[in-house]
Amino acid sequence: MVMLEETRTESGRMVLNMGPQHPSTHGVLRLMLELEGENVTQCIPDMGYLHTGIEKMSEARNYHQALVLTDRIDYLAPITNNLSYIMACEKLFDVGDKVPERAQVVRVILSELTRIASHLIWLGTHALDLGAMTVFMYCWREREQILDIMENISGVRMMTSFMRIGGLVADVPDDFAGLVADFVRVMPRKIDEYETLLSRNPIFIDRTRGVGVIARDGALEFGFTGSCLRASGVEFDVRVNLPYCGYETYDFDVAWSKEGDVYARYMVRMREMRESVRIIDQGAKRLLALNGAPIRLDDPRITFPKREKIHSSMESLIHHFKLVSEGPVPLPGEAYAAVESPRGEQATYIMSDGSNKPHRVRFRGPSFYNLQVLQHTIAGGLVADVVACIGSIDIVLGEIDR
Amino acid sequence: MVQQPPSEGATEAADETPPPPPTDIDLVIERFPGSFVPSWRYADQMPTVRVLPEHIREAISWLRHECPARYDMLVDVGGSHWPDRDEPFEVTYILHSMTTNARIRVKCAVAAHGDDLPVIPSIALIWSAANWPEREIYDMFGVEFTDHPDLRRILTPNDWEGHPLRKDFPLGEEPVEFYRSASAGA
Repeated sequence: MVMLEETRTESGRMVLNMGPQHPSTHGVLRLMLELEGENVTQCIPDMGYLHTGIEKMSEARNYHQALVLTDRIDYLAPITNNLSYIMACEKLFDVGDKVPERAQVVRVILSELTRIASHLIWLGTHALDLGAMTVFMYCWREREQILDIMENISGVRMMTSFMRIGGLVADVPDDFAGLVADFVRVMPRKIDEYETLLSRNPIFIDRTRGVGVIARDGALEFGFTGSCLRASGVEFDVRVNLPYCGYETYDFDVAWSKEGDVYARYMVRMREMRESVRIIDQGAKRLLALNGAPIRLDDPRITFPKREKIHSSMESLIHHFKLVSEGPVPLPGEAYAAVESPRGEQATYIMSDGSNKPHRVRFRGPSFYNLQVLQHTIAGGLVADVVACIGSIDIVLGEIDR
Repeated sequence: MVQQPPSEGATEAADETPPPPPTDIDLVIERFPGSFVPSWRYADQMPTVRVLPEHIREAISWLRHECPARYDMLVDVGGSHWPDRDEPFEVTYILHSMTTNARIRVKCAVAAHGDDLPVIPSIALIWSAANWPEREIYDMFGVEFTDHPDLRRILTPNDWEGHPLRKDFPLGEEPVEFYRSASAGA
């Protein structure tokens, strides 16, 4: 990490240290800003405060065990991390197309719920950075409803680890459909409510329009994905371009915009939340038709035997013991699997050497690539725009530092 | 069941079909000597080609600007360490084409360099998206990227010793041992 030795550079410019403990850096991001009056002349981001070595730890665990670590990468959207890891494992075990449909539908519903929950945190903190306190409280209220659903299915509010290779850890409880239906009924009106507070608010517009502009070419040059890329005029969404979990069968639109400024990123995410509600609604209807269908692939290489069988059959007990102590063993090879997380293309890249532990696990965090552009957009802007830019890129430091 | 011999018409039709157009992989192999498709299982079915480190910058630049598919998005740059191989380090680039919606994976094996860090040309100057990922590979695997604009450690502190994702770097975990707990008695 770079240490600050001088508070003034030779040219008389002030060096301002922002973070790592700063509410507007959304985690432990440290920025070194060189200022000339109110203008930022240079910005050097400094990360790594949250580096936990998740990739190294995954190499020392078997394929089932590393799953719980993936929740902690992007801690605002644990489900999508689980999903990309699980999908990479499924490709490695050649069972990617054999996952039962009910499991796929639940995966889609949970991914979209996570997307809304994550966007709500983004919206609340982003508005709070720009001085709108009320939105923050409202967003937390609706996010609570999503976390209640998560708690209802898994017993955990955030780090659910609900996915398993070949399906889900358990079926969703009976009242899941009702809770989701409640949410789908309530949410569109709540999004209207946020929009009345912000979309035409002159203060919010002054702070966001024309600020932190990233054009199409810049977005591709810096490896943008997700809402940031779409706000810069590139219609790329992993759910549409490289569909997974049956996303191609759902009816939804990809929100995008041409302006590429902070306001465009705001509008894209607001529209995305509405589209997510549409997907959840369709998914909930499909789920009703699939009542009682299997939620997990039955493949003895990966799946644990049923609990009743373990108690009654010696072979099942041995099978269970082998799967727990040794873990599933894939053929040597490698697989890359990407999902559209709330922040962009979240991917897991697993290389296997044919042993029971992955040789190398790489997590592609979209925030890691999206944040690269920051030092180029905010140089030349005002100090006050720095928080608007960071907020609109929607970073999660857990994913950048891993 | 008696196997029917294929009718003459079918064979003629098969003969008449032109050879499939060269894939982007074929074009890369033709253009950059020494590149080949590694014999390895790619379970995600992504087309993969390995090029020599000295060609990597031209190859990425060609795929981005001149290749018919125009791979205009750099999705990922990642490293890996295979201590048993002759060239123990590997850098993987994944590119996406907005025009054809296809992906291609370009790999580069990097030979060890004695006690010095292994060296590979950086692509950060021709594609800014590779800047931080290359710094991460430098930090985690100790692969040096020549002509990188800002090659510093990125996730570990500047005074950190060693490269954590190398296989010879200890994990620092205590192995779990099975023992009789006090509550179990005896």
